[in-house]
Amino acid sequence: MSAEERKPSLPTDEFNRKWYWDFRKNAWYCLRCNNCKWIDNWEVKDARFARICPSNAYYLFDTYAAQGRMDVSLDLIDGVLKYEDDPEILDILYACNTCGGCDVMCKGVHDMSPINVILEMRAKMVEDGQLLPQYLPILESLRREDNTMLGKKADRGKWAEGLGIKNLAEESAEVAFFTGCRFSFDEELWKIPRAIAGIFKDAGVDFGIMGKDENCCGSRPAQMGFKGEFTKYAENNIDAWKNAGVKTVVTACSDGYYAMKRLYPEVGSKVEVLHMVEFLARLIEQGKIKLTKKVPMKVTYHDPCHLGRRLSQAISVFNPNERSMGIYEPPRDIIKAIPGVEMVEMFRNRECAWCCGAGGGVIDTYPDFNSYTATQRIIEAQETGAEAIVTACPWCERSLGDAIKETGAKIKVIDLVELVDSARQRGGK
Amino acid sequence: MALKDDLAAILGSDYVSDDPEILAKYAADWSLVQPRQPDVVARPGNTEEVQAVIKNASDRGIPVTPRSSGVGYYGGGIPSQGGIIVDLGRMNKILQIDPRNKKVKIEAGATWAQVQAEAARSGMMVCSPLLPHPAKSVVTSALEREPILIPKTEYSDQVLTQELVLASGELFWTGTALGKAMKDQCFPDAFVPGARLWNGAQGTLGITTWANIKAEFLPVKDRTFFIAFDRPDDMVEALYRIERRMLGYECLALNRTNLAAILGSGGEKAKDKLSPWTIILIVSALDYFPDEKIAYEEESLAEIAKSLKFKTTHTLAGITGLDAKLPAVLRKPWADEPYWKHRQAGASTDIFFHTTLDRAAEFEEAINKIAVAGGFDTADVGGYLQPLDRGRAGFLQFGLRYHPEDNAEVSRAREFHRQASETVARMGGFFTTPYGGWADLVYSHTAGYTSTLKIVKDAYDPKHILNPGKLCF
Amino acid sequence: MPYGDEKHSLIFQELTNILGEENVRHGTATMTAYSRCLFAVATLNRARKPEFVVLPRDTQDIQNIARLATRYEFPYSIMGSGVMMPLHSAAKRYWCIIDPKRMNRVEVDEKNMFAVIQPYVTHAQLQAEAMKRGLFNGIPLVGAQAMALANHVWHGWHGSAYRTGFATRNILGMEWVLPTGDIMTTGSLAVPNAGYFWGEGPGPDLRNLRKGLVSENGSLGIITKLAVKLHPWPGPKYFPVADIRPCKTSELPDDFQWHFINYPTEKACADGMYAIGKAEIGGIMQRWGTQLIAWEYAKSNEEYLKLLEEGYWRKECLNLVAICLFPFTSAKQVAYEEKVLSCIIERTGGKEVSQEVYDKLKPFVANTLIRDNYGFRWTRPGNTMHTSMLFADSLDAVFNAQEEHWQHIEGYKPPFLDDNGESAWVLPFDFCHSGGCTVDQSHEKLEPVCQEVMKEAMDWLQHDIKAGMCAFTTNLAPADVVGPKFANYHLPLAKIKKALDPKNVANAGRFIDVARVEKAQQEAAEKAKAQQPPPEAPKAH
Repeated sequence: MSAEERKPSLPTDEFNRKWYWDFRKNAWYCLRCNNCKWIDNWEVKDARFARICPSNAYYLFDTYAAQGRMDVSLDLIDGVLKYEDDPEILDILYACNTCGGCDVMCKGVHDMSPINVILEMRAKMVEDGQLLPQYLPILESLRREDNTMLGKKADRGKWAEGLGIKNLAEESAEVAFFTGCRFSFDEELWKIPRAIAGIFKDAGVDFGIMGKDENCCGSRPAQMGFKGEFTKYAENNIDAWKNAGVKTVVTACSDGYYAMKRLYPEVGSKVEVLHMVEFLARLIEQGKIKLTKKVPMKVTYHDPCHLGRRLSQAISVFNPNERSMGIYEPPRDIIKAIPGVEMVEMFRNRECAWCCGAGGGVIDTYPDFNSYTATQRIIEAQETGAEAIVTACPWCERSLGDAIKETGAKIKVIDLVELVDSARQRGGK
Repeated sequence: MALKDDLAAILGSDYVSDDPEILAKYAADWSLVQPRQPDVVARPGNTEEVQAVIKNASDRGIPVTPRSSGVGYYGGGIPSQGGIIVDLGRMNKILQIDPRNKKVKIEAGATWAQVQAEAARSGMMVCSPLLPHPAKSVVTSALEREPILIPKTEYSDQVLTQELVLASGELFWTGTALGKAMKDQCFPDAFVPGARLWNGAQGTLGITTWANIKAEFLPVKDRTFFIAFDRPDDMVEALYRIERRMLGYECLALNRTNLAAILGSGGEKAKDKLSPWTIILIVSALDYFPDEKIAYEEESLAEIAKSLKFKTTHTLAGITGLDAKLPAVLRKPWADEPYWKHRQAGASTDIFFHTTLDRAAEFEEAINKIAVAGGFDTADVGGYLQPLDRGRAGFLQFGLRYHPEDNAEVSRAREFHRQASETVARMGGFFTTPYGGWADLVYSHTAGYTSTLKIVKDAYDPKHILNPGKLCF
Repeated sequence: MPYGDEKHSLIFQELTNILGEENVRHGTATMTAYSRCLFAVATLNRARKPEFVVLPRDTQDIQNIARLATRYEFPYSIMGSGVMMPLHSAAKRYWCIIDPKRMNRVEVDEKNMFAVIQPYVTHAQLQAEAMKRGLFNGIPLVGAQAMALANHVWHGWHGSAYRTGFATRNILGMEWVLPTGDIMTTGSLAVPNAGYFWGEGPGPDLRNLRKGLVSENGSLGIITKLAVKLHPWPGPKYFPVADIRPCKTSELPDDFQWHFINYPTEKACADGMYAIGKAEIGGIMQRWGTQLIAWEYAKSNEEYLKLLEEGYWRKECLNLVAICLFPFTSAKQVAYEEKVLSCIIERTGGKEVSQEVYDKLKPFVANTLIRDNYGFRWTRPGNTMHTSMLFADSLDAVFNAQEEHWQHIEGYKPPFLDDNGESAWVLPFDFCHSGGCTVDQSHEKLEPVCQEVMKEAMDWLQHDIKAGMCAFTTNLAPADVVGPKFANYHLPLAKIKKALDPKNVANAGRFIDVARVEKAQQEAAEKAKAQQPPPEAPKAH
């Protein structure tokens, strides 16, 4: 038969024609190609910094990689494997930062989404009553105090005391600054929301906060598999914004941003959601922030997973033809616009960035794994010769900051907001 | 029936001999390896006859040592335990010159003189080692890993596929020659084991009857450069740079003694004008725009020369016309008598091994010390450094010239060879094909490799009839 | 624990004693993660799981595992990325899989152009370390996330093999743990103070015990360290990359030139390749099947199917030769080679592709051959892949063989998918002294389809045995099955396997079945006693 006479023979399974979400098929069609364990092969610049999956790098067995998790998930879905068969199943599915590294690499070659299988499996496990014991205090904190940090609800707005910020539970404002659990209860990081408040005020932004009435955004519960909790918090927050007449929600937490940007619309949210990075870029563009002060510093930028690759991985927005639509360039553009700052990239950046280690509940449940992951990033950052790691997420800042303390590394971690705050012109100077 | 009669029944009496004079010729070669006379010499004319001879030897448990030509330098064809010499000299057909697939299919007895002449008719050549003896077998050169002068490719191994007679007398083929559907037989790795298991085996795992050997097209234009060095370290740096930029076809380095020998009487006269070491680099081009190719390579060479501060020339020691003649000389076997290595003193005993280029100087120093301590002059030591695989490695050969008629000198040469071999082995020089006494030096230090080799030998030659006493067998 | 018997407990305890509790698993979940891959055979054998997975730290750990396995007679295999898992998966009780993730060092000797790698170093890692130093190593079609050591030993057809030779030839010194636990070093590493720089010898080349068209899959031991050749890389230190995955692109500097040449027929295509090889130009040359281009180019199934329906690749690239000119010597080399190439194209009746096609091929497809990113895109249409055709000989023979196989595959459509045209990847070696091809097929990972696919493989195996083809199927089948048709090459191998692995524990049951060979020999001897005429001996050809 000549080449011209040959007729195409097409796939029978619709999944192999056009991507749609199917839990089992995603697991079934895993090929063990191993792309989920490594960054994009073109991007490997140094053998030491080639891995993408912290879980696989730390635990080593293939079970601790998207590939193995697909295998375990498939057998659990099919009933071939039962929870009681192997006590390690819980760790296999929970000792994952849900950083989405596997997912972006997998999608380079297939129309599949392993991260969503992992998240769905966690939800299923919660439904099936398969909970990590480490989750119990967090769950208790969520149920009693509406936060994941084991803090008191009454203390949630404490960081803003004395700043004279509008309380959106009582007043309305155009912009709601959503603080999030980490910034609210991690006192060492309060300097960042406080700097944001200063920037907003100077830029004339009409903004407010929910203070003690702010709820957890639901992002961390969603990552842990607590779908019900997520929905509850999402609905509460959406209602609160509606009541306060909020048009735009700004957050400096990448985890929270992901939830509000990608998951809230499914629960009915209509407000504009911006990460502080985007909002800063807007203010700079509008001339409301002027970066005039010299900050003589060599820095590198750490892409928070939920501000980067995770943004393209929500089932609702995933399009296999599109590039991973993270917010990669705006923070870099801002850093480069600051006089005196020298920006250097780490070996792994943008969609290939190595996670800080905090995601997926790991910071609370697997401290050693969290510490390993963060330390690896610190080592990588130090290789660049940077004095500081700039990032844009409190979870990254906590995780990386702790690793710096533990290792005594000569580098610091700062939020992009702090850098901008140091460089911005104040009071006409 | 007596062995000779059996063999005569197979081959015809003209091709079997136990005449002491003939046996004596097969007892030794050009090396200092202890001679040993065979019991009988058999000269088969085709594969079936080889099979029948081996089968007979196998039934009797008699050693069989193959010889593919009359020229041996390292003792590989000396029958260490007597028995039958299978002389493949009659099997010297050139079965095919295949320009499309750039190979020649030749019998084991085909010589360099024959093959290069025939290949040249098709505009081709087999990549040659340094001026082989014209009567030397091409197949043996390739199987025994004689290094080729052209490091431009990543392949120093020349054998593609071959036909073998195993110790049982059964036939075997390596690479794709093993499949009857495989017409061109170009690929060495068809099944486990790959074809190269039989390389460097000195006929201990089977006797090759024919082989497909790589061939290359003869360049249409060449330009020869000579680069003289006083210090081998400087020369090595130049070689690294030349090879890294993939310049030239033939590229080799010779010391004054070897270069003088190769240049003939003119060279001997001009010996004092020669530098301690000289790189010979032939920049060549095939059919298309040869001048342009040579020009850009020459320009790159000039850049390297400028950066390393060396000079390139087209003449050597005042000998004119050498640059034009040399490419053709190096692409053919040695044509004169005596053989180039023998012209200075009558004989040469060689130490050759693989190393990295950057270690050449330390080996040279060690060898020279041993020569001097043995009452020789450093000028008696011919040196040859052949970059391999784009400079990834080097083949280093030192040949001590001695007078074979002077027993005392022979004895000192033998001692030099022993000491130099031990020193080289201790320093980490690598004898890829451990001839004669090198076998013990090598295999006594390689327990894992040696025990596995013996397993392989037992599998292919359970009665140990094939060239016993060689390697670790 | 799938099998809770005493022997299992003993092995688990001993493995734990050797390696530490944290480096040994026998839980069902972990075993599941070492049981599945893309291939039909693994899909059908999903229930087949190992009993142990272990993480050795170094050569000594592997020696200890091998010794333990020989003492207690349990089978084991080593698995790098596990891409070729059917060759290493559990096939018997008490199977132990060695996962070498802790053995991941790479060291480069820049001056002498080689790298020493451990089993868990990917091609991408090796490339990165090499390129930093102005060197490079070839990349296989499977992708740079595959392990460089396993690929060099097993298959090793790199995109650059046209110039650099196939990778198995690029192996230098090796450290090899025999099934008995003893260490064997090969090449220059075998002798004191020489290092890794040379591969052959001493004497007969035992590297070749590991290598045919593919390898013996670890049936004769485990390689723990391997030196591989690196080649001059006249390009940038870091591979130039733009955009975000999966739309990532790469453009090399201008002094690298890609040319994509279409030929009217396969014969003309082969002639073109021979002519280019004769002129010895270029750093990379291959013939790409249209199907291969379609797979590599598409960033989604939707895009793949859209172009398939349009017949885009068949129309534009039916007999395509891709060649990249490298500035090894200088930029002038590329200018010269471009001129030569133009003459060859004209003389051989080729035509360079349109700018539109060029712009598609160059940034997305071509550079994968230097620094592969998207090898596994071939699996996109059905989320699996099948290959029963892998073949090497002369380029002419390769073209003939792939065409024959393609015709054969037509009889199996469906279940095989597509048709963008032929998928054959033709790779010349050593400036066209020889060449190889793989012909891959898409199919869906559905059990009935996998059954059909396996049938095709078995049919083609029978074809290869009957025809006397030294090919993929005849290499994958146990040697004792095909050996009788290939000069009984299996008989010495059986002796070697038995001597090296007396308890038959190293990837037991694959490569060769010694017991079956011995039984057949015994039966033959009995027959001979009964004065049966002996089987016809192979004749010279």
